[in-house]
Amino acid sequence: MKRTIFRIVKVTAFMLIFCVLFSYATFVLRNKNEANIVLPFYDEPKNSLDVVFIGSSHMMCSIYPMELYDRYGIASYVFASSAQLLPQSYYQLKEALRYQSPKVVVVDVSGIIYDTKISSNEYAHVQIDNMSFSPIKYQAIFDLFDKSEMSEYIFNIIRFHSRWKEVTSEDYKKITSLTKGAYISTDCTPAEPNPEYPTDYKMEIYPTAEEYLRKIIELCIDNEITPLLFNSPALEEANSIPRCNSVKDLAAEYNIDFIDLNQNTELIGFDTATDYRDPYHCNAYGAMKVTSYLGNYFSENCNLPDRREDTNYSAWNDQLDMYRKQYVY
Amino acid sequence: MIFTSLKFILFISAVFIGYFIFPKRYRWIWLLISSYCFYFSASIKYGFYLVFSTISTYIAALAIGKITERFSVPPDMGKEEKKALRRKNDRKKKLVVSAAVLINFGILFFIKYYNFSVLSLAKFTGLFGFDFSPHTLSLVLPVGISFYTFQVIGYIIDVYRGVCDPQKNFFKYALFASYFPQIMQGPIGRYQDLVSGGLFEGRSFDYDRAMFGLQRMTFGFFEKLVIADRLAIAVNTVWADYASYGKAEIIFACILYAIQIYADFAGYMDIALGASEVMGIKMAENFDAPYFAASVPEFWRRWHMTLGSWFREYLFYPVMRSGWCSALGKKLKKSLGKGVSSKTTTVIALLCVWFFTGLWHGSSWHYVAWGVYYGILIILSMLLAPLFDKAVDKLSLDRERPSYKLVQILKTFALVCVGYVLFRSDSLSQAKGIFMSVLSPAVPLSTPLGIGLDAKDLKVALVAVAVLFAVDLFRYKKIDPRSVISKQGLWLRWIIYFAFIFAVLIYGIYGPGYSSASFIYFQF
Repeated sequence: MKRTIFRIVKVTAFMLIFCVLFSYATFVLRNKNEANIVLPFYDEPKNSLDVVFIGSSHMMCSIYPMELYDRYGIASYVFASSAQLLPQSYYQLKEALRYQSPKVVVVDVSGIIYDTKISSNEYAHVQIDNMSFSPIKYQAIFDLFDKSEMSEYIFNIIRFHSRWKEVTSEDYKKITSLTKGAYISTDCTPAEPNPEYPTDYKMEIYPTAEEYLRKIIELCIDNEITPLLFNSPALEEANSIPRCNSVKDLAAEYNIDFIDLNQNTELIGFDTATDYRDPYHCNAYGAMKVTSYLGNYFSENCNLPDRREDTNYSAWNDQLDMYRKQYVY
Repeated sequence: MIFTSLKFILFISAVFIGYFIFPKRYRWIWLLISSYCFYFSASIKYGFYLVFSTISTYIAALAIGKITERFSVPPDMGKEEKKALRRKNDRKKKLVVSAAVLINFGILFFIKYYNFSVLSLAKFTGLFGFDFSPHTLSLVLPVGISFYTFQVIGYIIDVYRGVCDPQKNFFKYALFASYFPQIMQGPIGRYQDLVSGGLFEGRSFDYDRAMFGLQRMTFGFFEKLVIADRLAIAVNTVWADYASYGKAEIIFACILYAIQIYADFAGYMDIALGASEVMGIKMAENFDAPYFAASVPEFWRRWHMTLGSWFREYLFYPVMRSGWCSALGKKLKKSLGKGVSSKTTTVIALLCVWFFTGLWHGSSWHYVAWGVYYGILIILSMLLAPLFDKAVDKLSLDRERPSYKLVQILKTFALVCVGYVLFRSDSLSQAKGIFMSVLSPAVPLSTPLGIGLDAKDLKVALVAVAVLFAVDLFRYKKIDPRSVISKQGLWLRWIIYFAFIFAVLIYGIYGPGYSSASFIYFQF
């Protein structure tokens, strides 16, 4: 009997050590793309954020939460990843709500031009691999991917183990960032303004995108969160403008706001010659204009608390000081 | 379901758990269900052939058993009458066994060799000006058909010879024919060995045995994923464009292929035998440190042992004992003496065995050439053995000296590598091209072309091959490396286990970053 107990303990210990080593190897080997955007989200104190931005790289590049905090006292985070489509955003929001209970969730609708659940495996890994180990992650995997692809998301070492040749000392370090999910760039690529469409010219939102956009809105409503649909300035692709005109109807159906800065660039004085990092993403100059517009919108419409004097947010002030030193734009 | 897939890991875990949960008496049923799930997961269509082979050989074995059971000689019968009765009975059994063998070999031949035969015939008749366009069929070769067909035929012949009794329980027999660790790539098990190995017994869980089994499986994954599939990258690169490479790269690729195919096949065996060991079922070994062989015949006693023993039991001896071979032997004995007679019949039997060994590996002339190459080498080693012995004695070479042994081992390895050129090539003309590249003075010694593996990969390969070499050295010395490890302290043991597990997980060639490679012997 003693022998059996000893063996059970031994096997359990072996399995535990294996799990620890396996998790560590997985972390070291995996591609760290955008980990600095997403992972610091989990370091935010529980229920400390008033606004969470969900979406794709459009969101990362056009909103600077530190500016929102500095100028409006709003505690926010851009919990986004590149090429994240609306089905992915739905799970990203669910994941965010495990840690935070924001008053406003801003949803990037640029993904309405896709009828698929993910844009590519490469980008989907960026989102899924940065998610914490939770049931939501597995719900997302089972919903978003084909059976044949699931294993590489459940155990991403399957995809990334071949990175052993590229591993550097950086791969072992804890990932931190001061940007609260923003991707800051001062690069500039001039672009032509978007073509003008009549405001009543509409094209349908793809069914998959619409299904998940509705789910996102309903999830927010169920959690007493104000959903705000949002589209940032970007070069038009795949009839995004007429499709966004249909989003207006959907927003009206739920009686929620939709801010489409792609069609109303004059509202923020957006200059396509100076404010794009590339034609699909804002640079710091464009982002400042977008962020200011949203800051004013929140102040006027959302009754969000000013956290600048709140002692619970003193860490934000320290981070802001370091942020100002690190990022100049 | 390939052994190195996550699906298989989940499958085998479920099999292990289910096996030890099932009551002992019924564990074989669980194995049968698991084996059929495993095989049918590849394709339901393939399963049809397996079921047919199982039913046909089961019925034939029962029929032979019945004929044997019913046979009785009345005590008052005369000697000649008794002989006649016995002959009649033997004829009946022979008829049944021949029908079963013909049907099952017929299926194998038709699926595997029909197109090859008609195309070869057309080519052959074309040489004499008789051109015809053969009608080829698009036939899919069921996975493992060469292995399980040989296994069930071996069984039916054993029943015919009275080596084993026929299995009366159809489902138990179906398990013997389909036992999942061996159905895809062998080992080609003999019925009596598997029964005594515990296939139907349902042995109790044994912690140490299970751990040994899991260790062996891990090492199998290591051989396949870290060594074989890594070396395959270099081998495939050179073989695909051999004309652009120099002699050194081609020779290096041949050596790498020798290691690749061993790590691939032995890796599969270690996974299969390890999985079986966890459940307490002993299967036949297929390898015994083959690259430590000091001669080609010894190599074949250490390489793919169950296939070698199958051909020896069911082809070599029957040919030697056949009427025509005996008659030829007698004739030669009279005219040329006993020595020439026995050597001639042995040569004939060996050529038969090696022709079919080559053909068994695939329906292509380069496989036949490969088989015949070994046949010739083995015949030469047999015929020239007295000469070599004399030379060794005259030169006063000490056969027990390590340097002598090393030279013999290297010589054998070199001959095996030459054979692999025939084996690995897609056709005889490609093999010829590779031989010419090595021999032609026009081909440079080396080229700056890469072989598909960078320096880091080569380092990993080198370390992994060194580990494989060390393990084989233990096996050659008849020491189980697992026993050596089990005598070490806990921490050292665990470090070794984790090193292997994580070597597979990190350095293994798998996942979307690499194109997944099937086991080489799957195609046979």
